[in-house]
Amino acid sequence: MSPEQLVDGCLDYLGPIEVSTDTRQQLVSQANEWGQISWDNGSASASDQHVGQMLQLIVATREYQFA
Amino acid sequence: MPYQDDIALMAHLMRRAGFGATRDELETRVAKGYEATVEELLHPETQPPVDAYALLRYQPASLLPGGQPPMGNVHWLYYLVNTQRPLEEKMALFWHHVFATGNSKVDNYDQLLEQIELLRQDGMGNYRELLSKISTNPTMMFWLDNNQNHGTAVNENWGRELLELFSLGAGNYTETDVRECSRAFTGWTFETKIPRLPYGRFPWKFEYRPEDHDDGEKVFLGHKGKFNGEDILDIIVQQPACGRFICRHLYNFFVADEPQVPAWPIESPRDQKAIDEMVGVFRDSKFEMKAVLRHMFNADWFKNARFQHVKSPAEVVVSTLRFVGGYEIPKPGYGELSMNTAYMGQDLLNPPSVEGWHTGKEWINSGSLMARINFMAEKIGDISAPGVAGIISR
Repeated sequence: MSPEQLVDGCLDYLGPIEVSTDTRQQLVSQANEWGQISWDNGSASASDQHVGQMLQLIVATREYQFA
Repeated sequence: MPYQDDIALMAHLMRRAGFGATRDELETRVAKGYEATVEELLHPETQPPVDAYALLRYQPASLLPGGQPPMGNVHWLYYLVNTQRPLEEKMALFWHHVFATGNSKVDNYDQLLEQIELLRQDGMGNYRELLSKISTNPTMMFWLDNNQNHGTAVNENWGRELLELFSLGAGNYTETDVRECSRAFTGWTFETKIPRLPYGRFPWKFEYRPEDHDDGEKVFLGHKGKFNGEDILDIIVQQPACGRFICRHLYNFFVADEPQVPAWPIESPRDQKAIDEMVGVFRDSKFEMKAVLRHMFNADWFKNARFQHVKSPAEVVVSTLRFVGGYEIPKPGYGELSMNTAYMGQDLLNPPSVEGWHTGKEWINSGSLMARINFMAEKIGDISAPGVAGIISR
């Protein structure tokens, strides 16, 4: 899973939430630091953590404060 | 992507008419259809009630919490988190914003919870009937001093707030109307309280004392007669201002943030056409809230008003807990959990005044923003929580 797919997938399942281009870019920038997300042997635990961390970042965005 | 659009629309409906929904629930509801979902929400009796006995098994002190938080908060939070009748609970929250009554004076969560049950049972019913019930609700009477409103010594607190905050809004009545309204409610009180000791608190009960009622002629909003309280309510609901006021409250709570209530006499609604439509339904249906809600949820201006509403602390806490799951049982820690709305600026069952809470952008300041984000991040970052694990497994 690419960083963009991680961000878009989390935005989708948390809402779907609409975020600004700038917010999405910030989230993708962080996801890029984690690189590709994979649930192959040995990387599942870290990938689970990255999903949780991405969800945490999204709930902290300006956009998530709106219903 | 028509299916994705349907999911997004359903998510919007469930955020507003409830406290959000998981993806599984959204998919089920999309399969059922939007209008069918609205009808289900409007008919909570079709869904099972909350298991009150589970609450009492785990948190017995929440049955009669007395005057000390957090057990009153535990009680309502359990209902909010576990209800399968989300609009019923959301309407109770809506009316708690309007008929704001607080423990700071009432000092009795038992009675406040009884009032919430009234709002839960009648919140989607007829507004005129709800006004009658709230006018005889002893918790409200004590909160606004109507037990001190005597035929020979009028107390205007209830009469004033009934007009200003519960029905018409400032600018739609005179000081004389406040006086005459208050006279009509003299003698509306509650039975003398039984002392708490040695058996604890006893429920408060409405009592009408005809000997304490001012039965003289009154002139109220252009009408003249020997009015009692019910006559006053009949006159109030016929005022065009009443529909405008209640529907603007609904719009602010369910559709999009409006200015704060005190600004309404000088600031126009953000969508006058929408308010006018709701007022028309309110009037034509003889004040049936369900008819107004049905029109609102099915209107394009509702469907298009996504992310136009800052989540209240109650919405933040409840939607987060329902989303992550695992809070179906009121396990140890529920008391602290229930206080989180207060940390974010919304102490449920204890609003700052009879005006209720200021909403919209006023929910956000540097402290409350930290509180809400820390709460959400802690809960949603728990990858072992059922709702979060469900996302990962997808």
